[in-house]
Amino acid sequence: MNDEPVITAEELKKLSRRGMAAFAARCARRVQPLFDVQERVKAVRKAIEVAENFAKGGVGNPDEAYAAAKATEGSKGHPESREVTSPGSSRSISASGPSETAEAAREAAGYAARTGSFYDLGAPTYAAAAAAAAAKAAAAVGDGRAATAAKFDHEKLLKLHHVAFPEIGDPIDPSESGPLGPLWPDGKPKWFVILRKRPIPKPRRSSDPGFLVRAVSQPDTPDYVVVELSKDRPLGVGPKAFAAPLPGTESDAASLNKILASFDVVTVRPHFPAVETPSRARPSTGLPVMGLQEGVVPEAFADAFKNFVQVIPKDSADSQKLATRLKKTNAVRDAYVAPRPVPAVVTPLAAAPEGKAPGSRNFEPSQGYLHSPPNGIGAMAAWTVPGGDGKGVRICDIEGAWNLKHEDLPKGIRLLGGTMIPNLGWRNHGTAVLGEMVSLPGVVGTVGIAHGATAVVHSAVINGVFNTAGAISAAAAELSAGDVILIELQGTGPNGKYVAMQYWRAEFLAIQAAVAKGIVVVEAAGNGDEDFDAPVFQGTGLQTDSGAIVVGAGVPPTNYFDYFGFGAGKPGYSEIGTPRSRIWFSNYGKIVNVQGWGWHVTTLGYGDLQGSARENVWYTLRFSGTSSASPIVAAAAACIQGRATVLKRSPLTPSDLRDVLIKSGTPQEPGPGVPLSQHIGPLPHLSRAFAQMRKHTTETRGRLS
Amino acid sequence: MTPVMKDDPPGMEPFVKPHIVVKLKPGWAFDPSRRAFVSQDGDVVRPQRDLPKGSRIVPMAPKLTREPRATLSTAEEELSRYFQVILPKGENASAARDAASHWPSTAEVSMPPKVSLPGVV
Repeated sequence: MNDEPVITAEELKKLSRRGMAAFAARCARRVQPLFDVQERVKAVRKAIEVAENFAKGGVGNPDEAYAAAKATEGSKGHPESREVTSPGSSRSISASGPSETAEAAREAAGYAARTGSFYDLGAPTYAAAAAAAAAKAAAAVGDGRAATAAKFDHEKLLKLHHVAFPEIGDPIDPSESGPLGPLWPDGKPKWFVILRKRPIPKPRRSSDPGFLVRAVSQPDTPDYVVVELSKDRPLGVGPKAFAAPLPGTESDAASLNKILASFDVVTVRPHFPAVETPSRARPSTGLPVMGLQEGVVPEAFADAFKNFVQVIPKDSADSQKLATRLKKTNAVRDAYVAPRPVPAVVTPLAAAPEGKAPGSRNFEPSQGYLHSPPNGIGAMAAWTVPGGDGKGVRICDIEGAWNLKHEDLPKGIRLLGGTMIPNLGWRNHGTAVLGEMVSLPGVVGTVGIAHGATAVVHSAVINGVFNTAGAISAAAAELSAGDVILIELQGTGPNGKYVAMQYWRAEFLAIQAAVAKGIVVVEAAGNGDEDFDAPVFQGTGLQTDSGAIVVGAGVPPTNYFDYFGFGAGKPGYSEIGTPRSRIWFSNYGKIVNVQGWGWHVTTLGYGDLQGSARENVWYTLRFSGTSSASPIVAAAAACIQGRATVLKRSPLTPSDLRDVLIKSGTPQEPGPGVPLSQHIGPLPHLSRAFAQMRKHTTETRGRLS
Repeated sequence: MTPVMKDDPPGMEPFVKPHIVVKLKPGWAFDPSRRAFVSQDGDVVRPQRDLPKGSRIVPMAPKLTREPRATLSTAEEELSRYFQVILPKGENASAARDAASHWPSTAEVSMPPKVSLPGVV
């Protein structure tokens, strides 16, 4: 058995996401009979089904995929060998135990499940791993045909699917009755036939009852105090007291220890596990470092969490008094009695529960893009001034479909023209875009940046084909100077990668014409990782100013809710790069003017944050790409136009508005592998934009007089 | 308001009809009643002769083609010369492109952009 990959992740990237899931599911299906640990047989089956369902057009709930993959792991058991003698043969086919066949079969299913998540950018790696694990499992029973069959599937999928990763692609049936045909194109191996028919052996009884879920009861543990030390007063902890690791901190430690002496304190220790983070060196004092497990928590959080200490009194009744006294000292930022947790029960198939419709849960706290700069665009502050919520401005989103009945969208959003695409992926996308811009304020769901604006939509599908230029032109005819058009589409350019729509002349002209009418056009730069200044684009719309505001995808700041809230364990912001640096997939160049959050934007649709049988209450934490970035800018433009109309009784010209956005924005940052020369521009900063706009207006008046 | 095509199967199949983009030379226009391109000098090109039965020719920005030329901006005037030639399903767009490139009215002919969503989810 060699460890050569059956198919590399790079090769698999030529497939769509659904194609990849179909590929992985079939790899796992081939060796499924080799897995025989009865208590996890269902989990393995479920894991494969998750991938199959996504391949067939399912939503691809990432929490479900993650849970299904984890469920296959179970406790580290010892799968029984499955020994089979082929009829008519004396040869014994044996699944040789956990280290080989069964474990490899299980791994194949686990990796397959992970490809069943609509958002996971690691899908090619998981699919490749599923193929490798399946080949390993089959090889362990002396069969090399699993690898051949996988390659056969890959070739067939390449012919069937015309879009590549990270596109989701069209649904595909991965079963043997689907277009991929039999799992084993050269005929089923004997072991496969035999094992599939044979019942799984019952597990041996053990004195260990295993993990049983019983009624939840409060454990007999003491109350304790959580102390958050002031950031500028670093202290160490000893077994029962605070220590002063640095000169000048002795008095702080002494004052705290004096309080501790008034109580019978049994332990003083770090609140988080004492494991070093990658870049944090152990201090020379030899005191425990209050870091966190490497890879579990971003460094930015580790920095904050190192200030947390547990103080455990012998008598729980002392906890509150102890907290109150500690809190009064200068060395302590906060102190409180630790809450007693209760189990968070995760429903296996619906990790994103539905709220009490119509009063679904409030997700506004996780909309970091609303927050103050430099993290967000300062939308919440903008709403406090007249017009700052975009009132009086119309925003037209141009793409393919929307769920206009979503509970958190204003009633009566008008489809100006074109035909809606009856496809869930397109509908979720449009709904998510509208949510960022105009979702309703209140206790339900999210709130849009420009919730005072009026949204309208226009489908780019006209006469049964895409006609983006026609949609822009038609929308412009319905709108007025000061209104905003958002182009939420991209096209495949000359390198086979995605580029902005203004690459094509007709679309470029339509944008120019709309801008000439005073309409602000905001356009997604696209997710092709393309340099628009490259020679291949010379003479095209990617090196000419159409008048549009072209938007790149920037890395958002670390967001508490992203990492520690729903979806914990999934890639967080900190793994994408430096805040406000270009995200690897975003196109860039001189014509890219500004950036928005391009990763894990909380908005409507998709259902990973709140799911249900009804789309109308779906929310997501993970809307990403130049798709999530562009509505932030379009809505910011609407806020500025709303404010301009109040201040100077007319909106800004598109050119002036773009100038204001660029000059007032929070600058782009460089990051590893993404220097500033890969230009995507600043993140909008609304309060500075409002101030800049006033200045701009004054200067213009001065020039005119 | 255009109705949602409820009867269509899910996915993109209904929206991938083969088509090409044709840009007319200045001075040419499409006359829908004659289903022909006509020039200011009276020349006529009948594209249907070169196209499969059931093909349609539609302006990309229909409203602009109805406006008086003098009222259009430079960009609008140029945009009004763009047309889509939409072929029945299963027809070969490359063949139509080759045919269109020989029409005297044609300034440019190209395959349409392959459009997708810039979302990463």
